[in-house]
Amino acid sequence: MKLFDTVSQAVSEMRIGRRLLSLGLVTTSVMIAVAIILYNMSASVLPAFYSRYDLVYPQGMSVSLANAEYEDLERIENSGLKNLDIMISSYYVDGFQVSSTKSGQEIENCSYSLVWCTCGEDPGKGYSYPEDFQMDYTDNTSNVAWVSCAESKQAQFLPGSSITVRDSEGNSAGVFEIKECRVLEDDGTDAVTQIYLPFATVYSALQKDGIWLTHQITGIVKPLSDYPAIKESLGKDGITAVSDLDLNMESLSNMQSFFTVMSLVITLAGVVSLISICGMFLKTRENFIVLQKILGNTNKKLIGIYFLIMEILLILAVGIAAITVLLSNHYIYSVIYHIFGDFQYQNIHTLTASLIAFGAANIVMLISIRSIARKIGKTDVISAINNRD
Amino acid sequence: MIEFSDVRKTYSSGTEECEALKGVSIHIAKGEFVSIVGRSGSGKSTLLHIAAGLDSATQGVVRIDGADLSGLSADQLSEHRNKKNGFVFQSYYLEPAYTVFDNIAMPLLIAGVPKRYRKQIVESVAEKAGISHKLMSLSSKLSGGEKQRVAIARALVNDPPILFADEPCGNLDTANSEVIMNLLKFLAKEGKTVVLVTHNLEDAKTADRIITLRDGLVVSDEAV
Repeated sequence: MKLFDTVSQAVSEMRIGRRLLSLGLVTTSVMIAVAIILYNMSASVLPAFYSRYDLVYPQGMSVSLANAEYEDLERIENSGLKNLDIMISSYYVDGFQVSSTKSGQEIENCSYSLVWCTCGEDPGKGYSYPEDFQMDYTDNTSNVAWVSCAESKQAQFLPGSSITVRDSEGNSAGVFEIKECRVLEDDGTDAVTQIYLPFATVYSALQKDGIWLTHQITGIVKPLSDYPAIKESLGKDGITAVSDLDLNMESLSNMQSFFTVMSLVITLAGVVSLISICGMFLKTRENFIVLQKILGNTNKKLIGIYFLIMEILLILAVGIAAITVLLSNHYIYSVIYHIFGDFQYQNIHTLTASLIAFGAANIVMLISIRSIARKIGKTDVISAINNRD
Repeated sequence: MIEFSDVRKTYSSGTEECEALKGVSIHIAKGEFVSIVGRSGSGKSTLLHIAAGLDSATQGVVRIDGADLSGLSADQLSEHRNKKNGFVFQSYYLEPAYTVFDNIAMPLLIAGVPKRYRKQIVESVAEKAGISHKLMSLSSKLSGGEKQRVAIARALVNDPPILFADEPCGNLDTANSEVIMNLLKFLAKEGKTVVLVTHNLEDAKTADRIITLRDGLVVSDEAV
């Protein structure tokens, strides 16, 4: 029997069993369509969530890092976190004192900050932080300081002049050259002078006196979709990134797994239902199979006919499901949009899911074809003839 | 043409065994019209099924045109059935959802005969079987006699040298039985070897020779 004849006979068989096979086709199409929607939701839930969060937090989200030392800062910066900051407890920082090296007199009414200068996206330009000071990454280990003060105190902090910084116990935190002094717009004489000192220099200096500054490193993640990769990357170095996203991510990850598993289960259920219905159809065709065998058709060719029928049905089922989902994506995803935000992943995911569903369906079908082969192989022509006659 | 040498057939059902043929030796020559008669359970259908390559002997040798059937693979047996044998059954074994044309063309399809030749061949055998006027009818809409004519046409469509008919008139009235038997006789005259299994002696007498089976043994073999 030639291929065309096999196809022709398979089509004839489908025509004969059209009611039963249509039932299988509709059932499978619906189930695979649902499976594709679930798969799409699985693949889209995180991007949609991040998209929504990026809208809510346009400045990015703060991430604090546990087990991170200041020596790790460069590494942390390379991970993608932006606007790194090091917070020392205000108790200690407020205990700094500063005096002019020229006069040796203490400068009063000052507030202190230890800062970690980050390069930003263009190290050549430096990074404006804080108060738009032009800072460079190399400033972290230098003996420079930045000051913002009232106009009346500007003379004490002329760029190039030096100040000596000690802690309340008298331990030296270093001698710093004023790199830049910015005058506060509000020229009240009681305005607090803010002195910014490079973290690494102060840290090293105090370390020599046996003082270890306890600190907390934080950064900003933007866009939020970068967060999982950053968290994973830092985790490899033993640094734990913590943010408000963590709890949500766990829920979303569970939701994603649920959608994925349900998608797979429903795909398999759909295919199994199609195979069951094909099995029922095959039962109605027992006499035909007996007749074919009597007339000299071989088991292989008969299996080929029914394999072809199932393959045609699977292609139709997955095709109908994919087209249905593609056509209805707009409506389906408008619901998700309202929950999570705007994204454009659905069509690609639909096609990917269709291919995966087709692959999974074929695996199941190939397994089940064995039972069809057994059925055809075991069909006893003699008993069938005897029973009928 | 058809040669049985001490053929035995045993059916097993659980621990019980039933010997349907107990050492049958017969020879049917080319172009002979032979009737095999016997009571129900005498082994006549078993003999026909083994001769037709639908079933295998437990013991003994079955040769068709000198070829030992037991030496053929399943696929070779299938090809043998398709090319060498024609079958007619009491219950017709037609595909009810197919037209008469498609039913008759089925063996041609299996044999891989190109579509362009099928129509001509089918029309020719349908004419011979007297069913050409119903070619486009569904086989489920035919009368018993017409169905059996379709079955005979289908049996002839590959022009096989041997025709096996198992109680072909079992479901037919007298008039239709006569038509079918005359058709078989005509085919035998045309050179086909016809093996008819029947319990109806009148039908059996249409043949050139009657072989009688009883309890799995040949008890008589005589010319009509």
